[in-house]
Amino acid sequence: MANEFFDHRMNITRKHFLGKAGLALGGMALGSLLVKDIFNGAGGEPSLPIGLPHFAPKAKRIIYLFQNGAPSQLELFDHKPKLLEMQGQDLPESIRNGQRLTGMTASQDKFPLIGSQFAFKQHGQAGTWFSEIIPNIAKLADDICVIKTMQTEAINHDPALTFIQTGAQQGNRPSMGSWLSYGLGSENKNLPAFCVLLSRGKGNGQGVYSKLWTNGFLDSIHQGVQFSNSDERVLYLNNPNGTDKVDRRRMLDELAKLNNISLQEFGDPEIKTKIEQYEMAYRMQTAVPELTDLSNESDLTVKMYGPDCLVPGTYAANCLLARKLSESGVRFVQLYHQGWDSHGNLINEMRGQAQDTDRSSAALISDLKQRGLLDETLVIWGGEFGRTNYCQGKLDPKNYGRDHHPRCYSIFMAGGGIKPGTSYGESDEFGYNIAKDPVHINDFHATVLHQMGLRHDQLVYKHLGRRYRLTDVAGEIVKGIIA
Amino acid sequence: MKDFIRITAHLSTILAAMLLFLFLFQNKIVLPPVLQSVGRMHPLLLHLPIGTFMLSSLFWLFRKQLDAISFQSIFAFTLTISAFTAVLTALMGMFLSKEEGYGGDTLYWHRTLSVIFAIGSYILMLWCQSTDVPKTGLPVFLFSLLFLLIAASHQGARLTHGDRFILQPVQKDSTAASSPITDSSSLFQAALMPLFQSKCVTCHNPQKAKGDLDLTSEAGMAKGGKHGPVWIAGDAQSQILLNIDLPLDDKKHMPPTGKPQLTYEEKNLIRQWILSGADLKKQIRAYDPTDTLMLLAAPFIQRTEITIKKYNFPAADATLIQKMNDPYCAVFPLDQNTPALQADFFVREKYNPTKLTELLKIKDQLVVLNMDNMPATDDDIASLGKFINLEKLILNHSSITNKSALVLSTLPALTSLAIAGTAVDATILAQLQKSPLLREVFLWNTKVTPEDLKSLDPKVNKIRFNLGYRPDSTEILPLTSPTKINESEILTLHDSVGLKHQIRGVVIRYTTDGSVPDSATGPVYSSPIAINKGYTLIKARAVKEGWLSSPVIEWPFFKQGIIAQKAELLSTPDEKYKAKGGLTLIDGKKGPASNFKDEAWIGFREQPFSALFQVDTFQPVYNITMSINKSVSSYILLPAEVLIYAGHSPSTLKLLKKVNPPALTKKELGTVKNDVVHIDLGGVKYLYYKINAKPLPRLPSWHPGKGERGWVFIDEVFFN
Repeated sequence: MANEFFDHRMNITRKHFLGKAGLALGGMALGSLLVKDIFNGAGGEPSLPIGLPHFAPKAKRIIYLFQNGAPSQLELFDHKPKLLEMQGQDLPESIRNGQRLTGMTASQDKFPLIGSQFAFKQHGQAGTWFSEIIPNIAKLADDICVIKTMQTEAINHDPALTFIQTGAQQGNRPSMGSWLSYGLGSENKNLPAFCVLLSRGKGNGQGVYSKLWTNGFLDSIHQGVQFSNSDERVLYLNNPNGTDKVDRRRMLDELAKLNNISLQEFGDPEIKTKIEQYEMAYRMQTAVPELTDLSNESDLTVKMYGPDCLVPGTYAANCLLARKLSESGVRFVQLYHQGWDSHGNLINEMRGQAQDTDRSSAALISDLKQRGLLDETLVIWGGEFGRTNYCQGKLDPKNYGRDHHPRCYSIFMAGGGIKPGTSYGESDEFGYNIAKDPVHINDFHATVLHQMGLRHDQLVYKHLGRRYRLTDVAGEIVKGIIA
Repeated sequence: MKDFIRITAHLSTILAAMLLFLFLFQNKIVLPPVLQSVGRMHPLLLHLPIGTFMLSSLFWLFRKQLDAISFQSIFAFTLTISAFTAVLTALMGMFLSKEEGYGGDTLYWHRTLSVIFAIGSYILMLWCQSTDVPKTGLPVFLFSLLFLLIAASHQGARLTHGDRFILQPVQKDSTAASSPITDSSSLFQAALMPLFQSKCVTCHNPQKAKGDLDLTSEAGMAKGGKHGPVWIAGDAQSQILLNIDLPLDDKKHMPPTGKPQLTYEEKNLIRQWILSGADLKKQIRAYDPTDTLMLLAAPFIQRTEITIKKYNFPAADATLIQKMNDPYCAVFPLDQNTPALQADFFVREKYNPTKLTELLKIKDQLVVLNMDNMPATDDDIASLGKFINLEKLILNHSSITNKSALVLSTLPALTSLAIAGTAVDATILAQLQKSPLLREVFLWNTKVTPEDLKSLDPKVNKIRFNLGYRPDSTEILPLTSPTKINESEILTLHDSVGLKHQIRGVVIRYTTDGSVPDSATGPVYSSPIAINKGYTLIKARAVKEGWLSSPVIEWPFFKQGIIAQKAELLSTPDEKYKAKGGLTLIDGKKGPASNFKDEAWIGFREQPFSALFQVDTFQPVYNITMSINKSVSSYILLPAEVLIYAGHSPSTLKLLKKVNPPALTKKELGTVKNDVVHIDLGGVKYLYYKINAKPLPRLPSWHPGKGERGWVFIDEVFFN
């Protein structure tokens, strides 16, 4: 009897409990609607990229024409008649304001200003200034956006290069191309998402090294693949002597069987990645020769890029190859052209460098445009910093040089949703400091990612207990250059 | 409780009378400051009558569940409270409405309805107190009053919070969407209006219209307020400027204390805009960017982000998309939040036309189709018409012809079409012009000419036809020089020299005698050149119609006739450039001209070069060729003097020949090349040969290092 009574009470309380609990749960459930992402475990952290843009992108691919060694903005884009006017006079201390110099000119007791010995002319509807040594780029004035106020923190080549390529000066971070490969994946599964092409001009050169296209702490599939200038454009891709396509296929099939056994046994996703990489390399054996074979290019194309474009290893050839790679869905094509470090003999060296790059850079942009691809391809042209407005060493207008200048320099961009036919920012009348609208390297990176449909503060990777971004802890999108 | 009700009822009577009186003579009231404070307590009290009256109505609905006496007393109590608070609140509202800044229709209706409700609820209270049992008619009266209460409260809420206060968070902002801010917007709409919107219109709107001023529209601003026009163009004494510049604690300071204030920059902007003419219409782009007003306004101009296109069609099944992807055709959404899809074909060799049929499964979602460089035919793309949302189509270098014109022009959503490098011609243009939305067509490298475009009907030519790069016939470019096929410049007995050029149709003209090949008459290269001599300098240039002939390129070729078995250095090379000693000279490895630091070069400066060679048998030696680097600006030159000794043993050598290589000329200052010293011996037979070469002792006066000693860099010595 007592037991039944107890049971009864238990029943009531259970009903009560369940009823009340149901209501309470309902209330909690309702409340939880207001807390976003409470159950997906992400806890508000940016999640791993899923290989798609965060929002509709303007640009789908990037071609970065890196002018290695730092071309002088004062001889190309930033027209400063004041420097000619005051040629030979000392850089006023009020302008330099005690800012640091490199070891190469810090001991100079005079800083004689020197103006551009090349003539400048206005081009395009916006009247953008261009120097006479880049006539073909000048013809594209209505298609490109010259940024005159780039700003970096490093004053020497290695840290500056590393900074503009990876967002940090020290060189353990992933390169821009790797970040994009990580964020957006590969469009064409037959080619790497990030390709690197090298060339060398006759001017004073500075090294390029694989840390500039490193994947850093990201998975190694995001590393830049360097195309060699030899007959074998991608090293180790060809079958070894005595192995034909059929053998290779059979070998890969057998290898995949073995790998699949391991995969089933251990379930390690790395094994799956490995199988996929082998398959991609196999497909690259078909895709790469189709792209790198320049022998079928029409006369029209050769004329456009200049006859150098068929000589492997030249900048022109790399521009042509870059267009073909990009057209085939390679997310990020990075060119480096060495030889812009004009500490002396600037007139001759820059003339030579301009001759190497002017025609083919312009051709690349026009070529993308005439194929209807420029609106979705972002082309960037520029170096790691600029050059000083004063002469390095003794002043001789016929043979002068300029030292490194990180405070204000020029680059240009085209396509990919960048406002065409404009220039952005202004340097002061000495071309030394920024007068208006600075664009820091972090801002530049944020803008590039934005054009690719990525939020720079959301594209993160956790490594050694810290979340890393290409823009680190800074970066403002430069709205003024976005169309 | 009865006393409380009685007293409250009495008080209510007093207040109700007062309310009626004030309502009738509201235009004549002058309020003492004390009552002004009482008036401001209106918001403090106003929710009490609402709550208690609603409670009374609820009790009425549940009256049957209470015993009659309890119901009677509770009902009377709540009604009394609500009547008392209603008249008191209405009274306070009357005071408040007398303050500066209230007016308009909303106030009128709020006041009228509220007063009627207050008096009504007072009457209801009296009615219920005088009789114990609710009468017929009471429910009608009760619920009419409830309805009145809701209406009056609604008007009050509009007055305080403005229209759409509750629904605003879920409604789309129609005003922002209707007028995006671009460079063609007026500066006023882009920079000034948002200021008024955020800092002024909570009080100065058509409902509230404090000071009879409506700042929500240009018309309202033009009308002005109680104190006349808001501004007068160019007048620094404009009303608005006076108000915003007053000290914060001044009564007339705008915005009033407690409301969000204008910042220093915002005040400056308003002032500068009025001073520079208060132009309502002038577009942003009409201003000089360095104009003071423009500089002040720039930070406030929020250009509308390009509106992201919204697609209304349903998304395709994710597993279906996954399944359609293969290495040669990628199908993917344009971004994370859109149903719109893009499909890209890759690798020409792997093109599969049936893939297009498969894509029909996503015909509603496909927005971009990229078949760049695929050999797609007219038949393949005949089904494209079913892709009703396709906006961008890339068919460059495909095999399509004019036959596809109809399909392409009837794609309903197509805006961009790229058919560069295809076989289409001008006949396709007119058909394409019929396309409803097509805006740009890329026709580079087709048969379409600029003349074809000119002959199009200008009235329908809304499409931008891009013909791309067309070579300038006056611009003639120089060809690049030919290249050699042989990797090494050292030839074995049967090797010949092959030349090539990457551009099709190029003619290579060459010489082997050291003369410059003539671009019109020089011998034409057709098959590999046989080399018989020990040392041959080949000079070549490329020639083609429509191009300038290339610069002349030259390569030295060495025939490896007799291979020396041993080579021994008799003098010491420079510490930095000693390579592998004597072996370097006979290892068959040439150094690059541009890099004298290469291991193939041995460099001498302080000591003259001297080396002893042992050759194989008693074969006749006709000549000796020394391969020497010439990098003039790096002080690396031909030797001043070369002496050849020979003999049958190292101890019995005698001088055979003395050669003075050609002297350095000023023209050669920039030269970097591989040069030779060639010594004819006429078929002598010895076992040992010794070669001495003396560097130039003093550089000439035109050289930057004048007076200093020159270098000699040697990589190979050949015997023939």
